[in-house]
Amino acid sequence: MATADGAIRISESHTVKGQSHKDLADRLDELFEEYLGLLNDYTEAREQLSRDLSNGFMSLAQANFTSPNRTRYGQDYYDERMQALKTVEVESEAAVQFKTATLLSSAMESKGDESAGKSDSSGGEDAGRDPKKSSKPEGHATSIKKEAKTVTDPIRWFGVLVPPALRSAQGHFTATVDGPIQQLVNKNKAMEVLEIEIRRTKKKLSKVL
Amino acid sequence: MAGRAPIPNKSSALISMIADEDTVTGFLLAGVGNVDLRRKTNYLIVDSKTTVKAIEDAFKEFTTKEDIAIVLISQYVANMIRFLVDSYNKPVPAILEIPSKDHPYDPTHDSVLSRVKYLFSAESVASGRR
Repeated sequence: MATADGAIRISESHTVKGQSHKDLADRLDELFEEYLGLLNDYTEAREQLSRDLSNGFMSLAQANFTSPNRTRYGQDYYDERMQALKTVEVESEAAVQFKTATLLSSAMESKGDESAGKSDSSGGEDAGRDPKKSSKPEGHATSIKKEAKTVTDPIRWFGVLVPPALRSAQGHFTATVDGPIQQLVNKNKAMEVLEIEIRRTKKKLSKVL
Repeated sequence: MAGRAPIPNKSSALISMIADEDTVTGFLLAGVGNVDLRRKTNYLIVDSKTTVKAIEDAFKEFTTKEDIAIVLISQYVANMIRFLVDSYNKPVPAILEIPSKDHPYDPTHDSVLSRVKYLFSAESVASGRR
């Protein structure tokens, strides 16, 4: 493996498939810059998540403390027929992007409004939630259909007159799902994609050297 | 007997949770809870009586179900099944560790940060040169 081959390699070096050492180094720098930017966004979203959840827990504790009859707002009150009002849409197959969608607000915003989009072709009720029947969430984002007629706010499980602290807790947790959770998942996926790219570039660079 | 809940869109997926009661209650209030036709919930409440086996089973179930896009798991619960969480590498559903009421977020156990650490470590640089 010594001299002759080595010399040839060195003489040819600084170009692998038309990419010089400088190009690759610059590319690696760009990738690292982008990666660090994502890392910064990720840590900020983490802090936001911690703040929102902490506020949510505080409000929930306050609601439990001030509740009449010493009832605890917990699993005893869950509706056993609950259906998800907040769902996630997986956008783009290559770099997976998650986007949350709220059925509750969309139903409230457009009561009776018929969207021009695809009509609901699923015949049976709850077919979307059947793990065998439901299709894998992939492909491009589709807009939420407005088939929701009556929507139950989960806070109603706990009664009609709930303490304001419980509403506040609901607000904090909703904000968490729409904001930091979505961001964290997307940033994490973007970082994974970049990590692969960084490793590839590093490998190319090591071949050039 | 409140109103009937809407049928979620077929292309939409769920967020599932493995966490303590307060965390689950909070997220259910946000509207992520779901019970399917087989009366299976998309959450597991972890308390002092919950076994590690039950958590493992729930994790495996949620990560193999096709209608789940994100699995939220309390960090302290994830620590109980760390081997499973770390060996998971599918793009969907995504796993996200969240802090809980009694266990604040610990960055040293964050899988993303440990990946970052590895990427910038000397070992990674050395392996890149091989």
